[in-house]
Amino acid sequence: MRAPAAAADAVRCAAALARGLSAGRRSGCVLTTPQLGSFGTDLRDVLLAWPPPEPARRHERGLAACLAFQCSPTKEAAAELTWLAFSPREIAALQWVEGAAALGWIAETWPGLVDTIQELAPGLEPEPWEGLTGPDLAERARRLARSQRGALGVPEVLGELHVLGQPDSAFTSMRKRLGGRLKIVGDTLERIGGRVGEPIAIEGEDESGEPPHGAPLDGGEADGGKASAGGGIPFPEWNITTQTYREDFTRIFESRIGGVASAAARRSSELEGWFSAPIDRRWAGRLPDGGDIDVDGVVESLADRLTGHEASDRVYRERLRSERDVACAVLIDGSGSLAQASRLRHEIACADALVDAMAAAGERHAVFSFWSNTRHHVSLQVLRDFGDATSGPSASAVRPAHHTRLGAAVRAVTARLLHEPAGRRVLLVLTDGIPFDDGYEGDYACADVAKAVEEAELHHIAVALMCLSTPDATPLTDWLDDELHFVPRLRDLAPVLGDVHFRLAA
Amino acid sequence: MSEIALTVEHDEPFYIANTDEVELFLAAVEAKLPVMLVGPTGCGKTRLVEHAAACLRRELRVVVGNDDTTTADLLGRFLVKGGDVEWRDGPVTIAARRGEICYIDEVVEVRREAIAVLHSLSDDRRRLHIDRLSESVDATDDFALVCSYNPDRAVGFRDLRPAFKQRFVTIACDYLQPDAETEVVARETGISEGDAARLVRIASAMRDSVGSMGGEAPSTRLLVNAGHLLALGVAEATAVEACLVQPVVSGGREAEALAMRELLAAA
Repeated sequence: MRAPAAAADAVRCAAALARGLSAGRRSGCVLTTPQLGSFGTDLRDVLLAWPPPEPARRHERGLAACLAFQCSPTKEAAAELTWLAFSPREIAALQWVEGAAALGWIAETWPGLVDTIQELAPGLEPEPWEGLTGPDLAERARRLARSQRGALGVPEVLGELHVLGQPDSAFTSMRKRLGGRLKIVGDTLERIGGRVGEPIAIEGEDESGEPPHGAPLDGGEADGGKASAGGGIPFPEWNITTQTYREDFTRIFESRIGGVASAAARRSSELEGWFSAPIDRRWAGRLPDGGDIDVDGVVESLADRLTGHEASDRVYRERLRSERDVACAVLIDGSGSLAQASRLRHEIACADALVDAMAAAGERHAVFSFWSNTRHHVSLQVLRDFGDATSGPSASAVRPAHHTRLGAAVRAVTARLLHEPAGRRVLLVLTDGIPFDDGYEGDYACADVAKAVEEAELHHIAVALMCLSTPDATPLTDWLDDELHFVPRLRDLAPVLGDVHFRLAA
Repeated sequence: MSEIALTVEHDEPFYIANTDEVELFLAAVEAKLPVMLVGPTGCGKTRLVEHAAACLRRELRVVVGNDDTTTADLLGRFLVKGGDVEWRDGPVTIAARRGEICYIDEVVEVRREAIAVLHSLSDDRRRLHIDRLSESVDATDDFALVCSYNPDRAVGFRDLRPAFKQRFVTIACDYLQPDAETEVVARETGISEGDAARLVRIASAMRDSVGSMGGEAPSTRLLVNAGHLLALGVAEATAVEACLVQPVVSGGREAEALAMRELLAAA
């Protein structure tokens, strides 16, 4: 298998492969930039450069071969060493002898890769590996460095010999400088835990989202207020200072995310359990089979028989599944503030599990995500619309970007909900609870969000905002009441969201 | 209406114990305590029940739970026959009257109100209340109630109430160690120990690959299926794809499927 074309698919595939090849000693895969090398491991994860190096791209078994070297237990032996004690030639020799020992492990454990490796690294022979220690490797490396003349070329398939905590390691010093790890978010790379750097866009990434040409970026004060008439649906915004609406102040651009996202979220049975509320059931009579007798049906059937008519066998009743008379919209904050990979991934997984549960319960439902880039451009992406077939793009199609003009998004989805015929309407928002955009922050933004929620509730829409933070971390605490539900720990999102949905919709 | 398996009569089915689960099961039944088996799908829970029932020389009555399983499916219902209305006992009632082992598989899938009727049967009262008949049935001495579920499914709304779970002797079940699993696969399918060992090794790597991240892992049952196909001359790659890969990587998990195929090629 060559490396998959899409970064998100590649990292999932590489992570699964690494876990299998290493019997669980490597738990995942982290993408890195090419400057940090090709393949490597920090003994916890395998490191995969993106775009992937030549062996992974071109050879049929290339990715597996490259990952196998990083899964070898000889890496743990190499981690015992201090690189400062080696000359550059000895470092190259170390990579070579460690690679040979790793090949010894591969030949014993994963023999199907040996032919591939011999093509990618001709001249590399398997060496004994069991019980190998760091000093053993060092001794072999020094012997090799002394015994051979000329350069010691290290095959690319061996990757980089990164060692944790070693100051000379290119990866380690990069990590320290950046203060974090590089992780994939959707199809981009971002640094997590350190300064947020420029995401590396993967070829083909959607670059829409720029405000219309000529639109002011100053919050609109200079141009007298109305949003640029460059398309989109106008919505008002609440002005706390004047206690009036700014009519046609924001522009909503609705777009459809089509097709199945390449990085579809995994359906977790654990998450499903939090959303699989008891199915609504109603008594139905005159059935051919059922757990209870339909007395009226029996009487009728007997009467028909006694009078010479054909007697019906529909004499039972049962509590059958019924569709909930509910329309539920899920609105996902797709702004850049939620771009932390693990948080977004979990949010997406919960949203997908909720959608599955709503489909199973017969609820009409829709899923939206949004971001904003000034009031002139609030992007509302439709992942699933009301009435769509159950299969469709998962929430993993969300591409986080820009800012959070939350009030506008709430109004836009409220308008959609009002068009749905249902006895109950529910709006669930997943957000970090910090509304922010150009000219939209602090009390002004919070007041607008509170107003938008109030407008929805006046139309009998039940609104709940799941804030992925604590009460003191979101300014909305002072503006909303029962509508706010805090999720301080990521693992609590599923039970909180499932419980809120059940109480509002079921 | 849920399907209900009828009484299973059998010779003593082959079963290799992981730890002391057989002894524990038999002791619980002898003490007239209900038993709950908890473990991943396809790890041998049903086989353990069948084996124990054979050891005890008792009839086994199986109910496969799902979210349509009602109280009537467990206790019984009225049927209209001609001009008469007759009561027909359900599997739990039959087992209680006759002293059989009643096994409810996937009990977490059963409706909550149906599970509630089992409470009085699963404590020291060992009594079944049938409201429709205004009758109580005292379980005979040989009656035993056994339930099972996959813990991955018992989350959130599907989780069993503590009041129910804490009535049971709970036995944790898991996949066998590689040597034992190899013996099971070889014996169940007739393939060589070498072929069985290779299948087990591949499945073990696949379990590390996808199972550790909360995904479904290839079960012993799937291994046996693959072994049956190998015994009939199906190529290993085809058997593994059909029996180990495809059943566990459905619905947008193509990346994981690719990884599993690579593990097979690398093995």
